[in-house]
Amino acid sequence: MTRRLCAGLVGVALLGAGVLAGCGGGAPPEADAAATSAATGWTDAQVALLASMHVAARPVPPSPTNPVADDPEAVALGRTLFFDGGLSPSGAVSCATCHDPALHFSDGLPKGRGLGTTGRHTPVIEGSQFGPWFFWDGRADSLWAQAAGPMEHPDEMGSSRTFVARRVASVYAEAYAAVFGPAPDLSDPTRFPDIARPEPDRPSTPHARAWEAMDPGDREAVERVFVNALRAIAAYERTLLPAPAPFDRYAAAIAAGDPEGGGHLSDAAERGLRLFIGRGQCASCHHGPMFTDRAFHALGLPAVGPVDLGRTVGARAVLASPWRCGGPHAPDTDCPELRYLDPSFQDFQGAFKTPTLRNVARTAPYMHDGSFATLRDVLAFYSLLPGSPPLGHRELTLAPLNLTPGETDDLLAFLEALSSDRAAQSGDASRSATPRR
Amino acid sequence: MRFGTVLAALVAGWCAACGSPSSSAPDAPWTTTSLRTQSGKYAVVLALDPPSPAMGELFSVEAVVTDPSSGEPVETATVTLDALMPQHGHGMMTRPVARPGTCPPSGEEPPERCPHPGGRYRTDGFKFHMPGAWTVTVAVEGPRGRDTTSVEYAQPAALPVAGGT
Repeated sequence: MTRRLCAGLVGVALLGAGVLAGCGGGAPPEADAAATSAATGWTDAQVALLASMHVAARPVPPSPTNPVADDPEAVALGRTLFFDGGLSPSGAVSCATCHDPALHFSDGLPKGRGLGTTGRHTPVIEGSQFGPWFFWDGRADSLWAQAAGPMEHPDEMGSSRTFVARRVASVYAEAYAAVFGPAPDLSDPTRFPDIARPEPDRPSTPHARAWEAMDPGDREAVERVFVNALRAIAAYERTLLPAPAPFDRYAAAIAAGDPEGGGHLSDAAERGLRLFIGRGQCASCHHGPMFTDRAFHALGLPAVGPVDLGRTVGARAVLASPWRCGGPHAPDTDCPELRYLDPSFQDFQGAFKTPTLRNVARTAPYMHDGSFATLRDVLAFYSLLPGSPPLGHRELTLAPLNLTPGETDDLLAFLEALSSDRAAQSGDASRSATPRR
Repeated sequence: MRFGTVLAALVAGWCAACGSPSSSAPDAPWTTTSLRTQSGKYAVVLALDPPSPAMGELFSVEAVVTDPSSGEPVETATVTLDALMPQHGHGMMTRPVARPGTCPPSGEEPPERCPHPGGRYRTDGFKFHMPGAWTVTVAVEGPRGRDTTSVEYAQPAALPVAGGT
């Protein structure tokens, strides 16, 4: 292994060292690593790594299946719909019920709670526009495809595509028309029953029977409006970028050559950062501007409920989703992520998507099952890796960190420095990669 | 990729790292690298597209296969490219797909048997989802028989910075 390799890996991932260790040749990887800046104490590669984790390091990627992804009028409509409890027949559950702006669009609960209690912890929306996969198991491949799930889930909004489409076409007719053109007339309840939605796994429910009884053309009209509503909501969600945090100011100052990093991190937080990208190897998965690799990993958390297969199910589900890229509602879109997805990838078993660490100190509890109440609990898990996974195996790269109390405090100080100055606002969406209409 | 396959490739990766004459462990991350298959049957030049793929982004690998004695391109082989992380015991979360050769207009030749002009074999759908040491594996089934090689690639953690800081 050469020094260039080691510099490139920044100590985050001297993961290949084992292969070459057996060869017995060459200098120790760290011996002549890239020059360390005397001014900042960071190597050039580390400075580059920190810069790549700045909140503004990358533009929001385009959303190929959403033609109104960056349409300001769609954003405005989507914002209204996001907070509209009337999209649920109960009148009381909206997207914002579980995605509270005051909590960076999370809910502070172990499991999501709408009309019932969901099976997993509510993910943070801020920063989610950067990933190719949505939900903890990645069973959706766009923000708008994700939004379809909670709408019709009995434990969340308990709605139906017909109910949603009818409300949008009537209550929001003008705003809808401004973005998508005039909505079809869905006012006849005999042709468009409120409860109608497909349920392939339960074809005998009243909802499924009502859907099957509808005219195919009427079903198509409903889905067109429903999908457009979802795309408007997604357009709004794309604007929800995390506001800058002390870490971002520190990284920018370091990149500018300020040895003190502008004083934006405490000594403890700076030590925590070095641990984060160094011995802790946290940045192996938590990197990039949102501190996530957008991939799926099996941590082998202690079992606290029914076995959750995670990505094993999600990978197959996204390929079969009616809302997928290349599906009936996005037929002419190139879909490389789906084309090359390997649903049989062995380590998908019990694997879940790496969550963002932006505002992590304010978005407890943690993990896909909400089983850790505090960040200290999370670090204690990584420190000891107790127990055995209920299925599959823990990712082989994981090893107990054996953190000292001081190291734990340092990491906590660093994670606190990922807290934004304020909650995300639509106006933060100025970094979109796609042109506005 | 199945774990057994991973283990087999891990062994191949070890040999590559130890400087087997049939393969190499060049400076990494590389954008192009020249290899010789284990038994010396083929020379292979690998190139990445884009040359420095960002972590978590899809990319392609092109293999140019030639006869090491004559230097002539090998145009009628089947070339299988894959990648794994030996230290982690897993491969990629994607399933790469090899592009077919150039078929004659007659349409009589099955796509998998169509020649690859210039010995160029392109495979799409690679994605390195973690930083660290990956092993790119190459298997050539051609007129000189089957032969394999592998090479390390170090995926850096840092992503290209766009939009400034």
